[in-house]
Amino acid sequence: MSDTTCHMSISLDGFVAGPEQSRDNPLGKRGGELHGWHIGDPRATEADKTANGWLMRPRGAYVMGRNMFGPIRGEWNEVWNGWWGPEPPYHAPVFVLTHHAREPIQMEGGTTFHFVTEGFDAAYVQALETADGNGVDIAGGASTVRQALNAGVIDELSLDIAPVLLGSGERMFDGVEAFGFEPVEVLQSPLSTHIRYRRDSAG
Amino acid sequence: MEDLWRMVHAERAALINDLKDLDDEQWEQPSLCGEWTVHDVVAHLVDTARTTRIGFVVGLARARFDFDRQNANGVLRERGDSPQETLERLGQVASPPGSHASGLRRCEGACRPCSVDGSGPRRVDRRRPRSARLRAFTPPGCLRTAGGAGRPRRTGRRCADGGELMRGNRFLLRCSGHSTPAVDPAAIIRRPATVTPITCNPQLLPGRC
Repeated sequence: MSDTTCHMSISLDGFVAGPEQSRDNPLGKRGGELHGWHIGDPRATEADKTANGWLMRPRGAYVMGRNMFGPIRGEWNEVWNGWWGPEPPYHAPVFVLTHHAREPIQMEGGTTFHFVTEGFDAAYVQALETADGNGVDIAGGASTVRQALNAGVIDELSLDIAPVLLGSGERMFDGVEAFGFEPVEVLQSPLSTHIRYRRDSAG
Repeated sequence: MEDLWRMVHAERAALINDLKDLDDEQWEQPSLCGEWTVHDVVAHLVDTARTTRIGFVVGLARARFDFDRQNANGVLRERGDSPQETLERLGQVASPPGSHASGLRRCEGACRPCSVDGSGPRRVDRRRPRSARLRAFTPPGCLRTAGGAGRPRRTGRRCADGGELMRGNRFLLRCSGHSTPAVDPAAIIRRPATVTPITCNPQLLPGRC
């Protein structure tokens, strides 16, 4: 599938991560409540499994924000090769947005982290070229998805809406004026309502 | 990429087929993944197939950034009360979700596409300590435990070298060189005890073997 996809878990009040994200608490305070449907809550249902299938579709390349890549900020003073160990579960090139240039890191299993300092559009173009028709995924976090929405590049957006209010944290839709998608599939579980949206045919 | 996924699912199905005839004793045989038993390794495969990227980050933080501890947690979580229960779980994750044609699941470097090298049996050097043999025989990233017949009791070293499948007693088993759950690569291949270096075909599994 050559579509550009994005799949995010989000609270009812629009947060994709809680406040105070840190190395020990990567999703921020209460951020884990958005993800129970796929990280082992025993109340997960068949609907959650199906949505997990959407989430895990293999893609040709990924675009990711620095915040998603790791908790460190500023210059690359510390050895950090992502959260995912020596063989990250991407198995494709990953273009990481950053203000600080760094040589690519080739990991085991087909994942290479490329660091792009020229902004979202440049990263997306590189990802498209590298994906070679196998589709690009916008891997998060909030800021990167926001840029992708504003750039209008996402063909399929999946949201897992958890019935929780976080009250603060990372908002995804701030500064996005038009949604521009129509729902094409809805699944429901006690933990999340999964909605698969496609870009508006008019869009 | 679609071809790769078709291959992955075929290999998962073949692995399940191989496992379904094992008796309880065979399930508790040590594997070549450290001292994980066959049952432990299958539980690990279930864990890796089920863990999402964010789930991995969360699990790693919970494991205090210790990949071995994270792997051990995953085995404990997914190891059923019986081998059949674990095998059933593997079956549940073995194929792509049905409702979405492109909903292929994560990549696994399954090793069934490995080819058997007919160059003859490989000798196990019994003069070396068992720990050293295990180290040499265990591909990188495999958790080593002191579990034996039961559940893993402690985590141990990650092994340094690998790349070639070695001879086991009754099973040849390769645990992938990963410590990340998204890759779900291993295979248990029953062979007679007298065989067999198995080498991976790098064209089938680029970057993995």
